Amino acid sequence: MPVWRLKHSHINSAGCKGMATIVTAAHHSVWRHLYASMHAAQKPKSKLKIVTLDKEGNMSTLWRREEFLRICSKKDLAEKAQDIEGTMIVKKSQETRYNLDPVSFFVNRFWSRRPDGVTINKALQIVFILELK
Amino acid sequence: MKEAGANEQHKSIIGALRAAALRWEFEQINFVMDNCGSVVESDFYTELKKLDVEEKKKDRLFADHVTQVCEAHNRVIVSFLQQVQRFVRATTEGLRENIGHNVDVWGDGESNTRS
Repeated sequence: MPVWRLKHSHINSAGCKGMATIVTAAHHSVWRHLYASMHAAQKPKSKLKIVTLDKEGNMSTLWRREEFLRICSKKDLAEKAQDIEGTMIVKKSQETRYNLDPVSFFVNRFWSRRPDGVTINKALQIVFILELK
Repeated sequence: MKEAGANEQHKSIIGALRAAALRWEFEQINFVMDNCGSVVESDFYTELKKLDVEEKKKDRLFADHVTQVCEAHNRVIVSFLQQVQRFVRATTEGLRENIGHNVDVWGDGESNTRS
């Protein structure tokens, strides 16, 4: 008779192959609800804008918007990102792409990053990157 | 631990933005759910305040969020148990229906050596 000895963190992780789909769906469901609730509960005079990221949304699509391009150019951001991405781990699943062209790999990895949410306050010049974990 | 993982996940976004746009401020806000479905109330309220959520609405928002987290956690656990049950049936030819006796699910703080 098999006996499973598993940790809660494993079951709740999208890193567990058997649980990835349901865990991801659960995460999205909680986040959609929280995001909409926060949007609805914002102070009427708030200058903070909650940006909606659609399914295809990532850093690249975010930096096509005028409001984000005014923060800094795509070129400047890519240059700075490349330095930081270069210090971060390359996963085994990413090694082939990395070996092909390391510079492009780091830049592309940065633009494909996808925060759960983003808010922007142009008046106070503050951006919040939101993550549900 | 989850907070650190979330920060690591977006380290390059925050770092690159801070370096590229010196006049702006960038901060990461994490909404952390415990693996068993709990949410720390004080942390949650601190984050809501930063996001300009009305004070009078925060309690309702918190209650709704906790409900959502618990329901999501329940769906995950049910899915896990269903998968295990299918496996048990396949390997034991239906000798045991109640998977509760076969599955030990531990909290992260517990020892792996428990017998």
